[in-house]
Amino acid sequence: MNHQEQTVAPETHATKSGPSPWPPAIIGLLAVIAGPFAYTMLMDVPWVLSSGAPAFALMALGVALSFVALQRRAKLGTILIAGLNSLLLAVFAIGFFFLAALPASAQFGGLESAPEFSLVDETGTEVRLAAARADGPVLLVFYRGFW
Amino acid sequence: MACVAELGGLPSVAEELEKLGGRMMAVCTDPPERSKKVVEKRNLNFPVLSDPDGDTIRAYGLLHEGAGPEGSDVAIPAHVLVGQDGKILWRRKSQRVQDRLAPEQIIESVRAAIGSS
Repeated sequence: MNHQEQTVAPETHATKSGPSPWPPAIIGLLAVIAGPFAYTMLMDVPWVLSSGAPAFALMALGVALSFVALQRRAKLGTILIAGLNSLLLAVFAIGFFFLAALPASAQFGGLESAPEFSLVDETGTEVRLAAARADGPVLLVFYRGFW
Repeated sequence: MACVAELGGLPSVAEELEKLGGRMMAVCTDPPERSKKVVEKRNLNFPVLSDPDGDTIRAYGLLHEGAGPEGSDVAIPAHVLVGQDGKILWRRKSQRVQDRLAPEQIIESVRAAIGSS
């Protein structure tokens, strides 16, 4: 009896104590949630906007931490957090790379000369490309607009 | 927001282009009144041309139909450098909504294109 207790005891001891899974689980969840927020806050920085690096770094860190927690103790909470974190990262990545994809344009790539135009600027003044480019090269910046 | 994030860094490009004897203009489907607010708010030193019907943008192959608010058409973000003879010296189109060049990269490309033309 005594002998049996001694062999069982260390096992329960090992599962109950050991490093707590909650700090990495909670920090991991916060990091994953912080990712997209950091992205929207830093959008004015071109390389952030293009690469999404800070968001992906935070979210990957968060997912990694939640798996550390899962390894420490596989309980409903840690499983849910690891699953949720992975899902959020997947959703963000899909949105970033696929939903935001812009259509290809063979027409744009095939243009040799710039199509002429006459458009009004923000003050209502008419601007003709032919007249503008006569003075020097013109850089046209097409953008999606303010909305 | 994300849509105009790019415009914030462009005054430096416009300045650089002027030094090179050229000029810069933005093109979008917004009405002039809205562009006017953007120009004032962001202190833009270049004109923002309005192409509400998207005819010019379509002629460049850059109209993204139905991608704007309430199914309106918007331009695909792109840069086109037009030479004095009307030939396109350099062009670059975004692959994704967030895919934008940094101002320094634009300046570098423009310099190279003007230099070799």
